[in-house]
Amino acid sequence: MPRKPNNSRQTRALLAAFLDRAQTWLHGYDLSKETGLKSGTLYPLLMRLSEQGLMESRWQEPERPGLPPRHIYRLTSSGLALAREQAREATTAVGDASGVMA
Amino acid sequence: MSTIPGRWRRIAMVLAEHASSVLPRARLAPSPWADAMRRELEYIEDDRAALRWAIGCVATSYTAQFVVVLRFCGRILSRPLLAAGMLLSVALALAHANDLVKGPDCGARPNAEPIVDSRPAPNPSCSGRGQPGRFIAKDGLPQ
Repeated sequence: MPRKPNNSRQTRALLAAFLDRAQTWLHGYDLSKETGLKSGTLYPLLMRLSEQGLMESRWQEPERPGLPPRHIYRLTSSGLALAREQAREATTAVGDASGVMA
Repeated sequence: MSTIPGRWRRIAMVLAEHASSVLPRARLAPSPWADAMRRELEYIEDDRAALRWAIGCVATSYTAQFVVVLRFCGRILSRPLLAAGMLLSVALALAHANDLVKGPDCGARPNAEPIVDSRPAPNPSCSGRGQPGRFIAKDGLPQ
């Protein structure tokens, strides 16, 4: 059975972090702190999601002088749909597990 | 953040710079990802966290580079392997077709000599029931 794409634990954590603030542009370091992913894991995921058209990025002008522009990210509509689907699947799986435990 | 970078910060900056130069495509055209990783470092206030971030960036760049090399090697190696596989398939198909034209021989060997068990029978009284064997006398000469 082929493995479902974008279904790793790290990818799901990243998509969940994006889904919490769906319309907000997020920074790489904030995403790293929120998901607990190291930069060595986070950036390959961001690159892959961007290549797949699930995430968009742009440069943000610095808030303070002397700092460089910053790359910011948010999910596209298809990325949001995937994140919502994964969140729904996770909820269903938790519901099934609690039904079995009861 | 102090204006004079500490030791960890300096190491992190060197590593991030290296990571952005190693990242594939960065040599051909400026990669937004290389710049994104490097510039994010400026926004991390803790020096040790910045160093950890930079080490992750180096890992990302080398992993991406490794994937590019693997893909390149795969493309180079796949053509000869594909050609060899096709040749082998054609050869097997020809051999099979040759067998079909000749027809099945069902394992018959018309000109083959009969197989004779040349081993000495353990008991001479039992030697009459099968093919005649060669017996070795006590003096070593065959009978």
